[in-house]
Amino acid sequence: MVDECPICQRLNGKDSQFCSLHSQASKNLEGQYERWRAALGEEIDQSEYFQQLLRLEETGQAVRDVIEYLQRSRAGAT
Amino acid sequence: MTEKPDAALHVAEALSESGSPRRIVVDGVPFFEVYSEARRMLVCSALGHLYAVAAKEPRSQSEYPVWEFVWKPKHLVQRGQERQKKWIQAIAKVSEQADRFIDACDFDLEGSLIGYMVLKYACQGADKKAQRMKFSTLTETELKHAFANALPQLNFPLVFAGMCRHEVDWLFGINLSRALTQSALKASGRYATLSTGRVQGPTLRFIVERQQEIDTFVPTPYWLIIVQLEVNGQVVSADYENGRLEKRIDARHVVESCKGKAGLVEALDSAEYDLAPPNPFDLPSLQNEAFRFLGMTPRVSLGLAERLYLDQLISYPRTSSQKLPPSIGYERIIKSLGQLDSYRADCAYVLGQSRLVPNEGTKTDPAHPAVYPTGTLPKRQLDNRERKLFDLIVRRFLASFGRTARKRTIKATVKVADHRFALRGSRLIDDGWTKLYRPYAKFDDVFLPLLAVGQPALIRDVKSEQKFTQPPPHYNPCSLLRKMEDSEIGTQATRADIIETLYRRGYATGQQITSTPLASRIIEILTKHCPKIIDVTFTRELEARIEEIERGSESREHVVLQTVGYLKPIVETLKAEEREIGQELAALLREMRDESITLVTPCPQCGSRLKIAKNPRTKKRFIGCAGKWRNRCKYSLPLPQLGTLTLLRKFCPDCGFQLIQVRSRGRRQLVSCCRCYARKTAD
Repeated sequence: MVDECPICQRLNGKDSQFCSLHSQASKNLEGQYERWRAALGEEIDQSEYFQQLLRLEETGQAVRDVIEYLQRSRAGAT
Repeated sequence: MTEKPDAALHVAEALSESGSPRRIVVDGVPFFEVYSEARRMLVCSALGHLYAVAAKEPRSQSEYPVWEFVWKPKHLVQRGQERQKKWIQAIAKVSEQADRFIDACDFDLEGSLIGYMVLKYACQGADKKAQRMKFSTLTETELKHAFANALPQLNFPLVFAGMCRHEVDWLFGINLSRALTQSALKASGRYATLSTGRVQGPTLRFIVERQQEIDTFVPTPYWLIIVQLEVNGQVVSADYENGRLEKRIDARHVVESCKGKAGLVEALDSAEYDLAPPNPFDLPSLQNEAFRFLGMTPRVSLGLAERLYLDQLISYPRTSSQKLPPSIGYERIIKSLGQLDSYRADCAYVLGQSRLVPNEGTKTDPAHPAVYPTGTLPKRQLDNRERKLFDLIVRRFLASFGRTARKRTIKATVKVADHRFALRGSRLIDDGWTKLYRPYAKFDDVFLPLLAVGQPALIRDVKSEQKFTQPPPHYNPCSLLRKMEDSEIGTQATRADIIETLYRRGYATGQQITSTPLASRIIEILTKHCPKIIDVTFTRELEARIEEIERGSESREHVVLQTVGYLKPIVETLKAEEREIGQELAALLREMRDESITLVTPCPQCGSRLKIAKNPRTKKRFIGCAGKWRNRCKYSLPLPQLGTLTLLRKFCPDCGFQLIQVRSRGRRQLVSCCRCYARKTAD
């Protein structure tokens, strides 16, 4: 695992590829996905989930950073 | 001796038999000469603190740790204190002829310390024989009474508590701030003031943690059911009884099953309850209301309240009491305030009540009562903000004597299919004290049509609305002050200043406080290397110990020694890890500096970044293009050569270029578009 958070280049935590802030944002992002799925009562895929969050002004900046990073990584992988 | 020059004049006027003291000037410092009972008195003032804590041995500003300290005249410790030097010398000169000393500084921790230091050091040990005047207003009656009944000696426990607070704060501030500043300086070669302190550290942590909660917040959806019901020919809004729905399918189900249906009023519940009058103002509640209704930050409202106090209009504002003893003369004050047109009717109403008893709160202060208007009428034209704050204090004072108000609420439950909706109405049936506290107390009545159980109610419209959960709010200066108070850190005298320091140091911005990257990094570093510094526990315990000194059950020396014992290992750790801390801070300072000189607007010629740069030969500053080396772009714009430049997040309305602010001492700040300026000069 590299030492730097790929988003902000700060030192990352022991158990995460991200720094403490982006790691918390990533955990929240993951944790709330199930709530979104349960709330909407239908399949909402992760990319639609990310799109909706990016549209909402309530979404935290660190969460946006993580979403954008994940989107870039996936685009790079394909 | 008083704390400030304005107070000296009031004391002199009150004690002078002729009513007009003679102003004499000794080496440029004003004194007031007063004759009372055939004795000559001179009333002088300090200028706030004239003495400060300093390192015992003169050392370089960069050295730490520092554990030994002494109290020194402020002009020997800080720059720009020439006036204070003159003051000490004049007081020392005059005091040589004095046979009796009376300390008339504000009766609190800071005031007691100010008086003690001047008496001890400038008046050659007069602290031992000085008497103490105790008063809460600068009115003639109270000052005369305080003089006639002066306490035989200073309140030493209060003095020692004040000394202790200053000493432990100095130990924290000097060692921790130097550790941060020196670490960054050694690693980056650049000087930047980085500070933390006993109260500042935990306070900064509050705003950084809140910022992190906001930054990592993921909103989740929920649904509200919006219903319009027609009852008695009137259309009213109703709430779904179960509140918010977590699932869309449930919201859809409620809407589908209610659409076009008729319901019945199933139950009617009404209740009446009392609204007690507000308590008299202690300082935190005054600051809170001034922020809420007048938009004044805690520091501004405290500053204005102190001005009103010095003008004899209100009592001493730095109080934690919510009590108003009868000895202040309720009736006299209210009658006097009634001479002002704006309060005439309200004062008559209060005086017309059968009993005159304020609704006191539970908080007490051994030195002062709650904040109240003295009944003295303004002798000068108050400025807009002073007038507003005075009005708030007067109305709060009057409202605390008001009758209990009474409110009636009605809840009608309407059943439609298997769902229930609530119609809620409320009305003040007795406005009691609320009419004395207008416009600050405002209750909007919500009227419902006449309703009876079994009455039909038609659904005119029903729909679901998707909402999202909200992140916690940013702190504002007032809610942060409340948080500090709830956490029992800082004092009324210091909290507002500490919040201001966070802004000044670049740790916080905006009224809705946002912590800056610098603040987050400082907290991150302190959490990693010495978490105890930002933990409220020690600070809170220390506050309790200082209160014990005030009560005489703890010694100042013991608390200071304990603080040194607590701090030593922390500072040693910081020193040992200086290199690592410095590298982390230096990286951040580089980023911040880079950000502060890089424009958001790209180069109009090549699209590269534009930066503020300095010509190495002429030393003149200008805006240059970072594409110079890559694609030989020669785009540049001139800049003002004097003053401090700040890149604003604002853009020129004419050309869209980023605006620059120029600040120089003694001049009005200038906001300018460098691109438009260059075009105009070229034309």
